[in-house]
Amino acid sequence: MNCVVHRRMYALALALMFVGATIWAQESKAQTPTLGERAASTLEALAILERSTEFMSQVGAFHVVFDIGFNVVQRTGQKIEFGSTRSVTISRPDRARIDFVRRDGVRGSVFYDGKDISIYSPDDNAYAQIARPGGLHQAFRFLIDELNIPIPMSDFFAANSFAVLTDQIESASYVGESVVADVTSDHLAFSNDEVDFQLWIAQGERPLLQRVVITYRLALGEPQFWGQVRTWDLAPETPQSLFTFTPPDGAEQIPFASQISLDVQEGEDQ
Amino acid sequence: MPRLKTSGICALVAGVVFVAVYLAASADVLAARKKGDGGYSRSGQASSGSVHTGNRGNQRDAGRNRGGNQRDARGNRGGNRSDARKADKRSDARRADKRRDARDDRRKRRVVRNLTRAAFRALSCTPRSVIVVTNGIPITYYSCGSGWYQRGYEGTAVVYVVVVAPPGY
Repeated sequence: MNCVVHRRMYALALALMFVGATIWAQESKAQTPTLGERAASTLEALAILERSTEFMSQVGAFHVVFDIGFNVVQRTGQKIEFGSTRSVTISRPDRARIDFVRRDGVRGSVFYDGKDISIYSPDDNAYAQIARPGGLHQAFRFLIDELNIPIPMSDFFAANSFAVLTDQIESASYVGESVVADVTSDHLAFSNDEVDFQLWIAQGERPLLQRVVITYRLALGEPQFWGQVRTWDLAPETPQSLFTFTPPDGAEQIPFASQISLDVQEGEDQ
Repeated sequence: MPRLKTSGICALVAGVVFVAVYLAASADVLAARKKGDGGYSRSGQASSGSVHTGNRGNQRDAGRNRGGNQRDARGNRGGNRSDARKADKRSDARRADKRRDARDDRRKRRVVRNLTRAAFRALSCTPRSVIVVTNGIPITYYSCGSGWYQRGYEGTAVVYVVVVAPPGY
């Protein structure tokens, strides 16, 4: 009798183990996408990005308002967030106007009229100007590389933004549908050899960028940048006066700090 | 006994003076802090808002050490790019590295010297300004004590750069 009971118990235990193992295997399968699923996700993400960037490259002029925030890792290791609100008007191929208000109240404007780059600070009633004929790409590179003036999200406003965003790309995936500020969007995730970045692109006829998060994974503390779009206008008024800087009365022209003679500074060291 | 009393009063006065000076200094620091100058660095890689940091040449090595295995596993990085394009990119990266190094050198020299507007206003003097025409260009210099400053743009902010005294001063 006892023997029969024991056999039944062993059989029941074995059955339970089998069922458990089957469920575990199923769940593992569900959590780990297959190679085919990963490939499909990559293709979908790239297709959505290409559609969005292609759509934007066809737009001759646009005006976008967005908020940004970014972490700065302090010497103590603590991350402190700063940010600003930016209003950007681009008229391709060679006009740009950027107005910004930092959270600490500092305001300013950057102008590019195809010939000169100007930056103006109303609170200081000061401006700097430098000739840089060419196009938007050259002007932005000069501002970023030479004058140390960041142009956040400029990668997304470039005429060839698909090439810029996919340069050195290592992975791309479709995360899922996501509602951002009431806009139903496709949530995409990418990695290149320097950063991880996520994009939210509106679904529908106007596949416009809604949100960006960039993680600088190689930088100490892995700081993040985020940008959240408030409004897009794809048919803005773009008079030439919007892009050409006219100094207000009493405004003083000052140099970029990097232009102040190094000889003078070095002379001071002696 | 009176000598002891005098010493006590002196110590008390010194203490009061110390506390007053400390509070005044703290008020300056707090005032500067309110304007965003509390000693916090406000620029870093994340402030660029770009998916490319411009430090690719240097960071690639760091990335290899850190995530080398993942990259090898992915194994799809630039596999079908032409050698010529890679060589161009390496050359561009080298040029960018040189430009960056020169810029970093300049920044290192300036980083301790440039004052923000708030820090400049917090200086314990009333700055005076003089305009000096050099090569036909009027340049405004500001002096405070024995220090001389010139305004310039660092990023999007106006800063006061420490310079030597203008000719004739």
